[in-house]
Order: sequence, then structure tokens, then C-alpha cells
Amino acid sequence: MSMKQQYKLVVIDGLILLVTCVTIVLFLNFFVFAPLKKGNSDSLVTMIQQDNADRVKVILAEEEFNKMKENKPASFEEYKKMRANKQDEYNRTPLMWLAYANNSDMKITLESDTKRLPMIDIIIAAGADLNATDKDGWTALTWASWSGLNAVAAKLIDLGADLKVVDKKGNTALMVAAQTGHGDIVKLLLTKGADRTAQNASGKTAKDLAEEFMQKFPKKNEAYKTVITLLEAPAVASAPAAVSSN
Amino acid sequence: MTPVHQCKKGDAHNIFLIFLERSLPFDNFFAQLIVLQPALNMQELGAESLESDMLTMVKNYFSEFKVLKTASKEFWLVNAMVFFDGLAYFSMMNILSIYLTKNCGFSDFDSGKWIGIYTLLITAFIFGVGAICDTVGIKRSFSVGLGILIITRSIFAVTPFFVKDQGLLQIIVISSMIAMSFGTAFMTPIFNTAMRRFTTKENRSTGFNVYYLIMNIGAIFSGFLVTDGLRTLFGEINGNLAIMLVGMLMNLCAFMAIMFINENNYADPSEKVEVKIGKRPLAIFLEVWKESAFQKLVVFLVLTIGVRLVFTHQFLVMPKYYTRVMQGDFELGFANSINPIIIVVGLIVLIPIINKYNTFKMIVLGMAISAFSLVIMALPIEWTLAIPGIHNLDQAYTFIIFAQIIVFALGELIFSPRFSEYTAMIAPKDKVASYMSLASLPMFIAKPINGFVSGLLISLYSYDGIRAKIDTGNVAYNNSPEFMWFIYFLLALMSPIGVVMMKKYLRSSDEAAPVADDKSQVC
Repeated sequence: MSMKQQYKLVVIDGLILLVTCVTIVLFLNFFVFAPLKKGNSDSLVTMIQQDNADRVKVILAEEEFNKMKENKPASFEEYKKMRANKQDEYNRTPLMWLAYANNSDMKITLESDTKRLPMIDIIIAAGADLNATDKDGWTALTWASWSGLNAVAAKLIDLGADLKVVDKKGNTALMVAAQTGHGDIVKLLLTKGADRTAQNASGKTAKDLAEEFMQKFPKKNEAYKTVITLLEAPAVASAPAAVSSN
Repeated sequence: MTPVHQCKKGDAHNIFLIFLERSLPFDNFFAQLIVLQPALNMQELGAESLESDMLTMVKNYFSEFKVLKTASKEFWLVNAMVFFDGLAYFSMMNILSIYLTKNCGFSDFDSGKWIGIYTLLITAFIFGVGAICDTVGIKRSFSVGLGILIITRSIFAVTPFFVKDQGLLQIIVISSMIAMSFGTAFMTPIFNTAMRRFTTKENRSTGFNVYYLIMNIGAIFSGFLVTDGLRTLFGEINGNLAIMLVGMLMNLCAFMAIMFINENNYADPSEKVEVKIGKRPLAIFLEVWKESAFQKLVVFLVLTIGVRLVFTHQFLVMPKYYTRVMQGDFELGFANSINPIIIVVGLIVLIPIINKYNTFKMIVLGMAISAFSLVIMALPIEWTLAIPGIHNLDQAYTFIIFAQIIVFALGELIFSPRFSEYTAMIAPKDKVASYMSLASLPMFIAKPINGFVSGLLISLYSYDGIRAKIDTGNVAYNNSPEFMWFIYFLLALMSPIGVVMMKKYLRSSDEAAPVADDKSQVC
């Protein structure tokens, strides 16, 4: 057998293996794993995570609606509402993703905070439910309180986010902000009338949680001290707690 | 670290050379470790103390490099290319799953699936590409492979900027990944061919040692320098793109190095003969599949798939796991650098010592340790919080992450080289190379399966945002990342248990398949 023929055979073997593997992959994809798959990606969420307000605007614009071919809503208004309230596998909406960041460096979080602020108006104007909850009962405000997105939290509160919503474990946004040591958000929530005496399912108040986490994160001592001071201060006359838009 | 595409070094006096000559794929570089210390006779070291053993190993390892004084410029240029390629490849793999999700909008499931398919395609293409490389020569093969890598890495780096339609972007990225797997497949056989060509029989083993060492140094630098450096400098989203761009530039550097290579500068002119092509992979399979020794090998390979899946976690599962249970700006490159550091040090210092012990026992021990590394991450996180000195979740997760990396690397050091040794020992003397080449076939299937499984498990137990829910007590154990590791632990545990249960069969020798000379090593 000539060299060329031998090479040809090796290449053919490679191709046979390739085809075998592709067949296995396709089988696994369509018959084994795809039925177990939960959720699809959402371009709106991707753009929010990239802090790309311009693209968020484009996705919610009429041009995008006009491009749709399958499952096209009856009107542009319906399209916007559908997109702005599209839930993922954990019932999280784009607004919740907007209010979520997870960085050890607060500088990065605050940069996102600034960049995401203009997106709130766009998404709310599209018809997003401000007080929608995910599978654990978190609203966009709860997410912002955990993430430390001060400006986003302030905007959500201004727009009327419900301060009394509790998650499955009885935590309010104030408790979550206190637990993570986000003093600015705690201050904001207290000013707007958040209930500092509320207890979660474990019977802990926001102050209890701040004290507990101060022990756990000694490096963030100062931040927790501020939070505790705010929570200990006598209640000032504040605006009444906002009511859910639902 | 068990890189997906990199075949490792060989030795002119060793059986593996036969295997490497045919440029067939061989994913497990530890096979090469058996020949890492040619200057030393392990058996002679038995009576010496552990410390002096180690010292001798280190001294011998580095003194052996002297023989490279006479190595040609081509040899060093190829090693520079190995470094550039390692830097580009590993830095990309460190962030590929995150890039696909955050920059291109793939779901967790789909990103796992496509990385699994990508690694599978590399392995599949190597079968065919080896023959192409032998036909068209070193320079042309390098040019084709690197050309593809430069183009595809550029596409990865710039398309997310310009292509605004997510569907279209994903199609472009998938197409580029498929093309990239073809380009990557070129690198392995051609590096091996080049290393052989530019070394003599005398310095070849050392030459391959250097090749292996440089590639691992590339892996180490790719982590904390490229991956962490660029992500810190440009942030997560732009940092990922910058990593792709730097990868492209590294490939460009390698491409420029080709121009200075004279492929006819054989270190040993007597080797300048027409390349003999080996047997076809499927022909080998058809020849040996009925042999009882081969069936034994298949049983062994299937039993060890569970623990070998853990090898693929580093790039499939870990990047997302790290950045989700910790923070998005977690230094995942540093975490991924620890494994190659341990492997390089272990390779020089520990392997020769470990090699003195019984092969079969070492395989079981190494697999058990590797599987056990997952227990560290599978325990309820509250248990880790009870350890003195650990006060919060950040500390708890940091502890389990680094403990797992270290324990797993130790297990890997113990079990991987002996795994290949077992394959070599169980094979009939005249078919060792055939058995070795087929030993990688089970991983052929395991890679895409773990791609799917990892995508599914991450989307269920390690989704973006889970840390917030863990912090506030909203995640029960059966929904936690720890539960994901429990599932993986069960899969990994099946390997040592299975091997122990089948040990009688696996350790038996029969007339049809004579076991290698040193039976005491196997039994």
C-alpha cells in the first residue's frame, strides 16, 4: 500500500471517529440532556450584565419587534412588556438582573451602579413589574440591597418599590442590606420608612444580623458599625413606606 | 493540569516514542512521566532517605539540561512557540465558559455543552491531522494551525463588539470554536515532530523534558499573569476579550518564529528518511478488541472514567463555580495556576519516590485521593464554617477551593503516571503502543458527556446569583453547589471502588496476554 493511501486511511479513520462522536453528541443533546435543560439565555440580560444601556434600548425598541417572525406579540406594547418581564428558570426578571452585582471590589460595583441607572427607566417604561419576585421571594430591591448598588436601590425606591416584601426566610430588603453592611442602602431604606423591628424566620432583626455579620467579617467592621448606628438611631419622621405597584 | 490538546514528551528509548511517531492523540501527559527521569534508576534509590532522594532528583533533573548546550536554534524556537501556545491556550480555557455566557449570552447548559464538543473535536481532529502534518511538513503545518488560531481568536476577541444580534454572534462563535479545534489539533503532533527532529537521540529525552516544563510554565503564567492581570485591568467583560486578543498576539509571535525555522536542519541527519506511517487507529482497534488483555484494559478504562472526569472540571466547572460562590472578580487564574505548579514540582521531586511503590495500589490510592478531593467541596458549607479560624462564607469557600486543588493535584500525581504504566504493563509486549494509543478512547466519549453534565449541574446548583441566596439562608443542601460536588463525588468514587472490586480480574495475567516483565510492579 502506498504512503498516500495509508495517509488517506488514517484521515478516513479520523473522520469515522468524528462522525461517531458527533452522532453520540447529537443523541445526548436531543434525547438525554435537552429535556433536562432549564431556561435559555436572554439577550436583554446579557446586555444588562455588560452594563450596555444602548443595547438594552435597542432590544426594547420597535425595530426589534418588527424583526420578530415567530411568536410575535400582537402589538409593540405587548412585546415590550413581554421582554421586560421575561423570567429565567429561577423566575428572575431583567430588572432583578439589573439590580444584581457580585464583586469583592466595591469600586467595580459602583461603576456598574452608575452605568445601570439609566437602564431602569427604559425597562420600567417598557412595562416591567417593579415588585415581581423570584422563586425565593426576592424583588429587584432585595437584589440591589444585597449587591450594594446604591443608586439603583434609590431609583427603585423612588419608583415605588415595596419595602415590606419578605423572602421565603422572612428577610426584608433592610435585613439583607444590613447583613451585607451596605450602610447607604440601610440609611435610604430607613429614611423611606422600612421597618427596623421586623424579624425574619429565625427571629432576627436587621440590627441582629448586622451584629452577627460584623463578627464574621471583622475586616468590614467600620461598615457594620455604621449600619448598627443607623439601626439604633431613633426613628425619624419619614415618608410612608411605598406601596407595591401590583 | 491535564491539558486537553497537548501531547507530551517522549523518549527515544521508550515505548512511547513508537506511539508519538505516529502522531496519534494522547491526552494524558502523565504517560510521559514514566520516562521523565532517564538518568535515574528508581530501584537503586530504595535504601536512601526520602530527603536525599528528593535532592538527587532535583539535581539530576536540572543537571540533565546541560546536554542541550548543543541544541540548535530551531529547538529553542520551537520551545518558544510551545510557551506562546501554552499561554494562549490555557488563558483562553481559564475563561472560556465565562466568556461564552457573559460575552456571548450562552446559557450555562449550552456553554458546557459547546466546550465539551470543542475538546472532543480537538481529539477527533488529531487523528487525521497527524497524517497531514507528516505530509506537508513542519513549517506549513505550523502556518496552517497557527493561521487558524490567529483568525479564530481574533473573531472571539472582536465579534462581541461588532455583532449586536446575539443569535448571530453565537453562530459565529460556535463556527469559530469548531475551526479553532481544528487549528489546535495541529499543534500537538507538530510540536512532537519538531521536538524529535531538532534533538538527537542523546538529548531527546531532555529536550522533551524542557518542552513539557515550558508548556507547564506557560500554563502557570497564563493563570495569574494573563487571566487575572487582564480581568483586573479591564474588568470581567472587556478582560475576557483582552485575554482572547492576547492569545491571538501570542499565536502571532509563534507564527513569526516559524520564519526563522529551517525545517531541514535535522539534529540527527541519519533520521532524515521518509516518515513511516503507523497503523490506522481503527485497524489497531479491530486487531486487538478480541484479546482478553485488551478487554481487561477496556474494563479498567471504563471503571476509571468517573475519576478522570474530574480532570475536565478545571475548565468546565471551576471558572463558574469560583466566580459564583465567591465573587465575579475572584482570581480564578491564580487558582488554576496552582495545579500546574504542584505538577511541575511533583514531577521533579515526588514522582520518582512514588514510582517505587506498587502500581496497582498507587492507582487505587491516587484515585481515592482525587475522589476524596471532591468530598471537601461536597460537605455542607456549615461544617466548613465550624473549622476553627474560619468565620465567614468567603473564608469557607476559599478554604475548600484551595484544599480541593491541592488534594486533587496530589492524587493526580500518584495515580496518573501509574495509570499509563498499568496500560503499558497489561499489554502484550508487541502491542504496547497500540494499547497506549487506544487508552485515550474512553475519554473521547467522557469529554462531551461531562460537557453536558457540567452545564446542567451548574445551571441547577451553581447558577449566577446563588451566593446571595446562600448568604441569606435560602439555599438548602440539596440545592447547593455542595450538592453538585456530592454528585460528582459519587461519580468519582465509583472508580476506586470499581477497581478494588474488580482487582482480581484486573491484576490477573493470562497466557494470551503476557504481562510485562516486572510483575511485582503490577501486583
